[in-house]
Amino acid sequence: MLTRNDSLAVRFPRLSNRFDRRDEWLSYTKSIQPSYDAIARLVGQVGGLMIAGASGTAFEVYLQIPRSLRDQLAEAKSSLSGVVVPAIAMDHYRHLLRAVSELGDLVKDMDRRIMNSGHLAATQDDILKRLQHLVSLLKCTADPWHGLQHVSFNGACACGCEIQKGY
Amino acid sequence: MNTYSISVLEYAYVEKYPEGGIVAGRFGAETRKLPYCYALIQGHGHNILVDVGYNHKDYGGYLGDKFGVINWHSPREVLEERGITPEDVDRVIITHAHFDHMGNTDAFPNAKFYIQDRELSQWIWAMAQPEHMQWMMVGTDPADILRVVDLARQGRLVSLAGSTENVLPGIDVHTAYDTHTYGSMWVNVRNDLRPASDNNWVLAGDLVYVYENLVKNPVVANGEVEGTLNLTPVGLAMGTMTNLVTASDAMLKAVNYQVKRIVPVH
Repeated sequence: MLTRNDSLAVRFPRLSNRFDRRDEWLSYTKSIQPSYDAIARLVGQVGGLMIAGASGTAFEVYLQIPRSLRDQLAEAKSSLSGVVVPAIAMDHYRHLLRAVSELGDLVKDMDRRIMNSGHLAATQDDILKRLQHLVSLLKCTADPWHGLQHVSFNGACACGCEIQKGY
Repeated sequence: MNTYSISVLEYAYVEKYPEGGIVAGRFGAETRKLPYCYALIQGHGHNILVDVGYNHKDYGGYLGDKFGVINWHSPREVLEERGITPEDVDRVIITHAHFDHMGNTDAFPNAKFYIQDRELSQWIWAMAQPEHMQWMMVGTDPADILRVVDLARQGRLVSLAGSTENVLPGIDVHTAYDTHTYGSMWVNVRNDLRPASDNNWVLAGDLVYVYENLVKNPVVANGEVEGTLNLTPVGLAMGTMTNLVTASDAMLKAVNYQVKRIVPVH
């Protein structure tokens, strides 16, 4: 049975500074959220293209994407660079900068491979490892109580809106 | 003769879920319990799961604290009640890619997974949309997608391109595109293995949450579900409500309109 003790804040005391509602942290999480979400979505898209690659449809799927991975990444970068970072969030911000930088290399790589030949299998292990590292960065920088979460539950099956507690 | 046994296994629940999420159009403040389940089909030498639940390790605490999802139990605990372990599961059919259905693939190390191509390709399309359109990504976790990448790498993923008969003997999957999600599917278990079965059961995934999605004021008694047919969709559609209604009718047709043979899992 889950109890209040399952709360991330209780289980991981090192995260406590993210839960004390300091104004500068709240303002930072609000401004960083579009970049965080964009990174999560790019990771999902690259992962999805890997699966499509396994069934030989990566090129077709890639063509139906309405905005190129490069354009999406450029937007994420631009949004990230405009964030005012308080001292309390420097470490967090550095994690996201690192994620964007790693994604940049990955997106370039995927773009080239899909456009040239669609062959992804040879590098599957390497790309998967890089994606998993990116997800670990996203998890490390998550603060679901303030909107930084790589999956949105609002409106989904978990959302008993009536009983949402006031975090 | 019954080839398979079917069990619906609850692994968590939300105590007070808004009625409007369960039956479209119920705008009042009423709530009810919404169980989180997966289904186990056993027989013909197989242990087959329909969906796998969510990954408690990543966000179970948050779901509990914020949304009141409680009583989560691991697949090991849940399956023990049916006398098997997660390692004994050899096939998994993923009805759709929401976190509470596809979020725990790691727990089944020996299983082969079936999912619709379209479910994944349309999620990629949705993820590429701009920020202000991201409602379309509700309930989908990129981390789950990476776990599916890993399944593909290990040769344990079967991407289906449409409805498929005899995924396993007597077990068919049917697409319900652009309904609850872009590439949802439902499962038809023909328990007598006959092509035109009169002993079949439909596992509805999230296309039907409760009998009220199928009949008005259902009465469940003596193993029957009575009530006037009245198809009303579930409250969440990435596609259209109309498609949900036509998918419900297709499921009912498959069981000759015997409502009790539709199993609402969620």
